Amino acid sequence: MKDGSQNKNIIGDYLIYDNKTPRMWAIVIMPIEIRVDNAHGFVHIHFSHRGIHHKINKTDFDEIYEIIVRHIEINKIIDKKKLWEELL
Amino acid sequence: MTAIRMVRKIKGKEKVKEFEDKYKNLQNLQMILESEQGNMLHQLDLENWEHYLENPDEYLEEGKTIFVEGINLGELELDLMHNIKNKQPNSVSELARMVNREAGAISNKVNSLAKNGLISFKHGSKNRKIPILEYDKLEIGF
Repeated sequence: MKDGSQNKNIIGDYLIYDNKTPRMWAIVIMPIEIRVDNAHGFVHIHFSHRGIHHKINKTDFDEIYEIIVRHIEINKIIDKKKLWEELL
Repeated sequence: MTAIRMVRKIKGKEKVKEFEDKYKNLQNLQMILESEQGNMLHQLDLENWEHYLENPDEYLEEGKTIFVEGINLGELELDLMHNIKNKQPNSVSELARMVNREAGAISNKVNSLAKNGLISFKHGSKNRKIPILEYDKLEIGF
């Protein structure tokens, strides 16, 4: 049986939570409330709590996590439009 | 500043117990989630709670990264953490006895561990502070 995992990391001014169960994974960026997950069978991003989802083309968890971290390190503040483009 | 990753591995049913302590029941969490206070972390908690209710014997590895500054993680500090984790002292005085020191001699060190997020306190009877360490291991990044 594969284990689940949950991690909390501080990157710049943001807290990044990543959560994996054998069924799905999610990355949540707080306090800005951005979520990338693979629920419902495809990878997508939400830009707010209760916000609609936007499909992205990147599907690999590690690659997406790296893109988010690099985006914060380079830009300091998350630019939602730019981040979405980087994930397409 | 040093990055330390704190890691623990727990069973799904232990995680469910933590959710029960935090939110009492699933309905409460759902109410919070639907209220103004609800946020994406509540959503994550809800998903995990439902998952581990169905899979209580599954293991979950939890990690958090903290940044510590101005703390000496020497033999005494590691000994204090070892005792907090494995012998669960009921107070700082009891912890001091476990490491053969006076409470006054370790008080600053225990507070510094807590201030840096390496341990935490819960309130005991008679205003006692009970030191707690919920994680199993530390990974230090260079």
